[in-house]
Amino acid sequence: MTSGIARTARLALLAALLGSAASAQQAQVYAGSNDIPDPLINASFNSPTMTYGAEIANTGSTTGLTTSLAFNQVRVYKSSAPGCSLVAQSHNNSNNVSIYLVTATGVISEVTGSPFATGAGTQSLAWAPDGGALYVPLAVAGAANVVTFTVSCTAGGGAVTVTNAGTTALTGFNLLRDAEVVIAPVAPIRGAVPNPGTHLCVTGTNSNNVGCFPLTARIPGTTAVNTIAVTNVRGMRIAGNRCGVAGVGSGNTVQGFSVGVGGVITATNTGITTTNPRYGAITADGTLAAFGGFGTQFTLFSVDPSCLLTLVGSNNNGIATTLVEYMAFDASNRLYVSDSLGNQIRVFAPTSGAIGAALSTSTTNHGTINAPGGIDAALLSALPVELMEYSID
Amino acid sequence: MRVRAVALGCSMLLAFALSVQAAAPRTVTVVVEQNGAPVADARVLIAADEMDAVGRTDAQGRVTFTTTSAQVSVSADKGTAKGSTSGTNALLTVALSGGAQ
Repeated sequence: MTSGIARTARLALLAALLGSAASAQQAQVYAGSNDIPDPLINASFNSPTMTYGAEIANTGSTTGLTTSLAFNQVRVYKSSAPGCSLVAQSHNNSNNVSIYLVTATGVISEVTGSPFATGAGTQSLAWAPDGGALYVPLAVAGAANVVTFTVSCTAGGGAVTVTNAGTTALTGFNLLRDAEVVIAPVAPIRGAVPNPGTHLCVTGTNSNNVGCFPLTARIPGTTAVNTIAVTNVRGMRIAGNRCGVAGVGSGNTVQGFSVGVGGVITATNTGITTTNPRYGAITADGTLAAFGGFGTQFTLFSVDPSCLLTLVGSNNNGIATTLVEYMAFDASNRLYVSDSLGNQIRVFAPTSGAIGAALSTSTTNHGTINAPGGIDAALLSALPVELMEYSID
Repeated sequence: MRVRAVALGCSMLLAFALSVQAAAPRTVTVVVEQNGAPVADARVLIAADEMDAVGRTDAQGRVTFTTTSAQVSVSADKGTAKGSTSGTNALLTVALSGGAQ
């Protein structure tokens, strides 16, 4: 009986940790403003209502205009330690990155020393799975440099220390466009134990390839385990099950792939989009992927356990001048879409059968219509685990 | 778009001058034409290393933007007429084909 209780509770706990689309919670949503300066848009989504809090000021800036979307990302690391969740925001004009601490009560503020200098080509960001490092690949033609910041945080809302751990020149790549850290498969429960990740995977737009570099003491090696060819590759995301997607920037195609335990990347199949892909998103469970493109539409795919993509459909927001290039899923598989240059965020609850109607369409409280740029979302729960079910058998 | 782009280009010039690695921003003018005549109110999509942009041509068929990229790709359309080009020049011409002028 004891083992049955333990087994049932353990399974319920694991299910909770892996996330469940049936238990949509309130999510915190952050986005860049594609502006000069570049405050962080800060909102809470409690379906179907998006509530915008005050923007978070910083000294960073982008090259974004009302007619152009500068490539900048916002990425959230949700900590299992209360008070240590972090948000990173890139600024491609001031060539630096802002890092914010989110306390257990949801209060957000820039950490000491922020923004942190990175260099020309600052666009994309990738957190280590345990939040212990932030990687900033630089999108400079003729180069392939990644800046590594190590990050430590005292649980309970203590001090955050960010250290520039150096720049690594990756061989065989040219103009790094995006990055993702793959999680170590040996972790028994994702997020519950330190997991610095095993490889930093990057896309090279001018080298037309995707590859993964082994991490040693947080620092990427200089040689990829292997590469796959993806023409004019743009954004890339990898799920916890190591299924990934990467956009072909010069065509209407998204490349599916898998990453093996040793960092070997293997192409699967391609999916068709309606516009040239830019940046994408994949659910934490690796079952859905979405890609924005150079235009007003985004495209949704279902992803099977073999990392094969199947087209679900596309969505056009109907705003002719909007660029729909950035999006993110939360852990309940809700999709948050930046309608850049339209100053709106739309939220969907897509399934493998349909994108569905927007749950919410809201205008941000940013003062001009440049916004929003890169976007990310995380469930608001301050607990390290959510006990969704408990039974005795 | 042109006026603001040029004005911001000046401020961007100062910002980029402070960065050792940064490429200097430059102004690029796109001219959209069909059968040699300028096309007003054409939609123009501009892809550069650091940004994507959208704009509409003025009465002279022109759109001006600022970029730090050496190479840019441009596509334009008006109705069913479409065209594209890419290059490193400060003046890029897109010739539309198809559709009614």
